[in-house]
Amino acid sequence: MTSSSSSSFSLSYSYVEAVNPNLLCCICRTPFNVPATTKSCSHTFCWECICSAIAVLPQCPIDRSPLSLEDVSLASPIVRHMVSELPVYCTHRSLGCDHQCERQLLEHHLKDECLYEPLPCPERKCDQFIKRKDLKSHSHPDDHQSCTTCDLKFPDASHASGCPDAQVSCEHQPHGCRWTGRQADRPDHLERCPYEPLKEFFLMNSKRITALEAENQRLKDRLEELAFVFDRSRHDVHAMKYLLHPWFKLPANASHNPTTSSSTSSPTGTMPLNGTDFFPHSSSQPDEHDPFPEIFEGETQHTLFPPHRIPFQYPHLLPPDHTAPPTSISVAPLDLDGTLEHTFTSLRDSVVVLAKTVEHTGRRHDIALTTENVRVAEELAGVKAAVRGIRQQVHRIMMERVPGNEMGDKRMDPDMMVSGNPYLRSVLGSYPALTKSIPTTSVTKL
Amino acid sequence: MAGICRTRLAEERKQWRKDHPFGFYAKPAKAADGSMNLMEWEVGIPGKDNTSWAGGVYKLTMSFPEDYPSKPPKCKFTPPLFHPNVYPSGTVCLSILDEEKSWKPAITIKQILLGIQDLLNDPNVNDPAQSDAYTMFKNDKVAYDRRIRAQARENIPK
Repeated sequence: MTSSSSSSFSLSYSYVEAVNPNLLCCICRTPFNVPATTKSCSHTFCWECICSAIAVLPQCPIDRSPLSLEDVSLASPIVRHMVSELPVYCTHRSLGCDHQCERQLLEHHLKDECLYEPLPCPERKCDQFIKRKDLKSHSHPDDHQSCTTCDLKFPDASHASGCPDAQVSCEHQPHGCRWTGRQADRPDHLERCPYEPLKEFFLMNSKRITALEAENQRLKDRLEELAFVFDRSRHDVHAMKYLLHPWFKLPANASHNPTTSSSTSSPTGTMPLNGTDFFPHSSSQPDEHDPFPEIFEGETQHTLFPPHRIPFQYPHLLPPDHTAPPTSISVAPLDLDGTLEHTFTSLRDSVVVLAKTVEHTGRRHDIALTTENVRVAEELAGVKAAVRGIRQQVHRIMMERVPGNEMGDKRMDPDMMVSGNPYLRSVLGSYPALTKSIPTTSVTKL
Repeated sequence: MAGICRTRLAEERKQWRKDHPFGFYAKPAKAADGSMNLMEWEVGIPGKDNTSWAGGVYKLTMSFPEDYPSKPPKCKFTPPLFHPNVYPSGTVCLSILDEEKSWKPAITIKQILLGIQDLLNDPNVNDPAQSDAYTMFKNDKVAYDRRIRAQARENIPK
């Protein structure tokens, strides 16, 4: 462990007592190391922790508010002092050092005092690290060792990187080289090894493969998610299809359907009777063959709305004969070939026509009733006048007869008087029927 | 970076050993040579009492990325769990585990595991992850409940 690294980050401290949780960084869960506070939300973290967190996601790790490095500054001195004065054990406690000190002093302890701090060989003769306390007794025992391979007693510099007689294999063995031989011969082999020139290529390839594998895994995960989303969408589409059943069709089909259905169906008589109302655009087609032309021109008032009529009749039940007068209003059949919108439009048009028919029928009935009323009133007036005339005549007759006292038993019997007068009899005989109006003048003339 | 990740995981481990909710377990996986792999944890989540999940302890592996805790761990049920918010691969779909949704470095392993335990009996129908469990949960609660109880029986710890 070098002094530069122990000065700040990578040193993991071992604290003597439990630390107040308020002094723990929520990112690394240890007491703050170089505490840094955010200006925007006043949260405190280790400097290194918040830097790496912002590098991944520019948000506060506690409240997810937007955050950038500029918003982070060193925490207030009191916080820094609190954490740097926390008591810690020496890092080499496991090796036997019992030293305890404030955290800020540990660096000094390791650098100058700790007997267990590993130090590099002072003579740079070996790569080993030696504990400070063992430094004085440190020597280079390799001088007294013997090589296990060649039985050489005091290996010299030639043994620096292993015994030259040791059996080794080519360093390109993983790529397919089968060479094995003495360690000393390896440099020679490497010059001739067919895999040597490809070294860079192998390196690059293995990097690429690793990257591709990682990407592959990522794509697989993504695919899994997408597949599920797709399944759900397909399910939805099926449901919609089922709902729309006869009207579901591909856009290319639907676009030309309304016109074809109206023009192809009309010659066979399945065209709606009042087709001009249903498809206003079709009447403008000059070549269209209209099966019931007389309905729409001039006679509409009489033929479309006769006094009593079957309100609905399917067009295919109508006689195909064009000259036969139509006897009913018919309604377009459900047009399963058209689009849904088109069907709605035609249904709506049917309703409009129906409403018109109802209104017209009502009006006709009103007129008929009024006419009837007037006629009855006239007849009533005629009858009243006739009765008055008769009464006057009867009165006069009675007046004439009284002085002579003749026919005394007849004077009180109007029936006898009427039957005696052929004209009156015919008038009164037809009275109950009320089929003809009686001209008032003819009665008063009598 | 990697330093933070390992420090944090070591601290999490320390905290967990000191105190963790009843019925749970969480330990770093053992590599083949017996060494501890802090980046991969084996975890057990018990079903809550008085729910259809009670009795079972559901096994989960947590894989921590090198960017942890800036990025969330990946939680995967092994074997995959029958649950509307668990992908067919076993991966848990939960907002606090999604770095684009609610993940934040301050969330501890304990909070994640309690969150997943809550999710078990309280699935989020707005974010389904597997169709089997989702459709059954939507259409046939009785069959769903039966299936969950059967799954709990299969997961009774030995």
